Formats: sequence, C-alpha cells, structure tokens
Amino acid sequence: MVNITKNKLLICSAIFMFINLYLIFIWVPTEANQGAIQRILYIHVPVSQISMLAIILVAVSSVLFLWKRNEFWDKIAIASAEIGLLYGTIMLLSGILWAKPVWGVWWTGEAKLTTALILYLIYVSYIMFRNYFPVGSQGQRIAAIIAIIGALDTPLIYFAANLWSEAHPPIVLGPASENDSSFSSSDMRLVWLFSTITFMIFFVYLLRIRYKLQDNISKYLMNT
Amino acid sequence: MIHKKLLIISIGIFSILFFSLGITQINAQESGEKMVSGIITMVLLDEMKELKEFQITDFDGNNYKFIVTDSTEFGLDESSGDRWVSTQKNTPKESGIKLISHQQRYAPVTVIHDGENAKSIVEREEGKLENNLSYLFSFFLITWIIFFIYIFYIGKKQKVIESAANLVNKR
Repeated sequence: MVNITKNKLLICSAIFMFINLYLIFIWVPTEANQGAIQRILYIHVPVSQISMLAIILVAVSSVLFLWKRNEFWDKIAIASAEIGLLYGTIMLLSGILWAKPVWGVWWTGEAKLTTALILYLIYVSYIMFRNYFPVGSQGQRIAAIIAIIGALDTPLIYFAANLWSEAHPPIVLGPASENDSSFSSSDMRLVWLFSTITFMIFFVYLLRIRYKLQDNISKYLMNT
Repeated sequence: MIHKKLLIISIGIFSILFFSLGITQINAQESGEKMVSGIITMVLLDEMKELKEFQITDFDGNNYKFIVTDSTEFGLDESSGDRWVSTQKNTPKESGIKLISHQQRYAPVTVIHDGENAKSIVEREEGKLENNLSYLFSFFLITWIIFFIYIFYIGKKQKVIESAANLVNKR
C-alpha cells in the first residue's frame, strides 16, 4: 500500500514537473525587462516558500515530539529538515544565479538575502545536532529550539523586502504584496501557482521516502 | 529502476524544452500594447539632460518616435554584458546615456508602446537570449542534478538499511 502511494506520488510529481517545464519555458511570456533569466522566478519563489514552510513543520513536529513523546513526530521533523535543507540549497543557488545577470553581483548583504542565509544555516545546525548528539540525549531538545528559532526567522524573510527595501524586489504574493504588481494579474501568477503545487507534491514525495528511511533506521537500531 | 528511467526521460524532455526556448518570441504583457524592434536613430534630452523622446528605425526602414514618461521601464544590456534595469522616474539622466550608448553601438532594442508613449525599452530579445541563457541553463541543470542525487542517495541508504536488517533477522 505504501509503495503504491509512493509510486503514485512519484509519477504525479514527474508528470507535474514536465508540465511545469513546458509552462516555464514555452507557455509563459518572456518578462519585458529582465528577459529569459526571469524564468528562474517560477522555481526560486516556490522552493523558497516551501523551504520556509518546511522549517515551520520541523518546529511544530519537534514541539509535538517533546510534548507527546511519539516517535512519529521526531521522524517527520528529521525528514522535513533534510528536505527543507535541499530546497534551501536550491533557493540560495537560484538567487545567486539570478542576481548576477540582473544586479551585476552574485550576492549582496541586504536583509532578504541575509535572513534567507540564516534560515539555511539553521537547517544545517539542526541536522548537525541531530546527527552528532547521541539518541535520547539533550540533542533532541536543543534541535527543537533551533527549529523554533528557524520558524521565527520565516516572517522576517517574508517581510524583509518591504521592511528594508533594497535591491530585492518587493513582495508580490501573499497578504503583504503590492496589488499593482503585474505579476498578480498575468499568466505569470498562474505558472507560479502551478509550480508551487508541483514542488509541494514533490516535497510530499521526498518527505515520504525520507520518513520511510528514518523508520527503517529506527527499527534496525531497536533490533540491534 | 524507475528512477533511472525517469532520469533519462527527464533529461530528454528537459533538453527539448530548453532548446525550444530559442524559438519563443517576446510577448507584450498586456493586451492593447504594440511592439516594435529596431535601431535607435535619435535621442532627445531636455535642458536638464533628462531623456524626453527617442526614435527607432525598424528593419524595414520605418521610423517610430516615442515619448518617455516616468513609468517607462528599461531593461538594457551594458557593453560588458550585464543587465541594467530601471525606470525613467528613478534614473532620468542615466536612461538617456544608456540609449545614446545603444545608438552608438547600433544595438537593437524592442519597444512596447501604446502608439505614442514608450512603456518599456528592452534589449531585442530575439537576438539576445544567449546573454542570460547560460545562467538559466546552469540553474535548471544544478536543480535537477541536486534532486536526482538526493533521490539516489535515499534509495541507496534504504537498500543498505534493508540488507543490514535482513542480516540481523537471519541471525
């Protein structure tokens, strides 16, 4: 049953990914000012959003584990942190590769980028704590605190472009977005939405296989 | 096995989609807008040295004169290859300098306009896509490599754990 669901998710992810590539490369119009490079947005924004959601999932799961002492939540927290790190890596790489041709530099020290880098480092430190502290030690509690700090960083990342306006474009999505943005009224929004759904399905697939792996590791450790 | 097949199919479809980008055309963002491409043949500045008007000549020899407003957007490549993005309101003097530079270099531009006012002035994308494609290509390549490496890593680790668990069960 697990395999059928897992494969369904994989096939669904693959189909959505191919449609997504078609939409990004062919269907959506080329942005007038930035040219072809703007197409990075359709992956940069969804992976950034999911990376921020993943750390919230890590924090909630960690708190639930400490409260309920149910191993399920601990495994979800580890799986979500690792995939959040994966998405965070792509978020930073896509930002860097987008910044160079548009801003002329690979990186700037402005608020949006710095808070995103902090989130990435929080993911790294969470995974390091989980891997290097012995099972059942204080590591789980410290890791949970790190995850909560990471979750507190997410609203800072979201509002950073509006609070400390610099080179990064202002928010175009969500409650704090600018309503007159061309992004909110064009085909671009549709492609962004589809891309977000695609990467969310892929996130669920990755979460599932990583959870299964963690489950097997736990069973193996209990048997030995 | 399914991962290997997916990898080959993905690379194939990705390559087809990527190279088909070369034949896509720049599209106007809103209906009612017109678009014209050509060489800048005249740039008019006011007494403050701020850009006011310009003229382009398309590839059939037709001349088009446009007024620049505060909302006119620019997306032009520098001679170094870097992209310069701004609006007339933010950089009224620099935009004139950029257009004069394009005029001197005979660099083709695409203008989106409403018949009288220029809404945006960008590098002529049909011939200039290669400027940014290397970044775009690198990004998509890296993203897919990272995803596939991660899936292979998880798959391999899963097999190791399963075989170790089988050994323990046999004992």
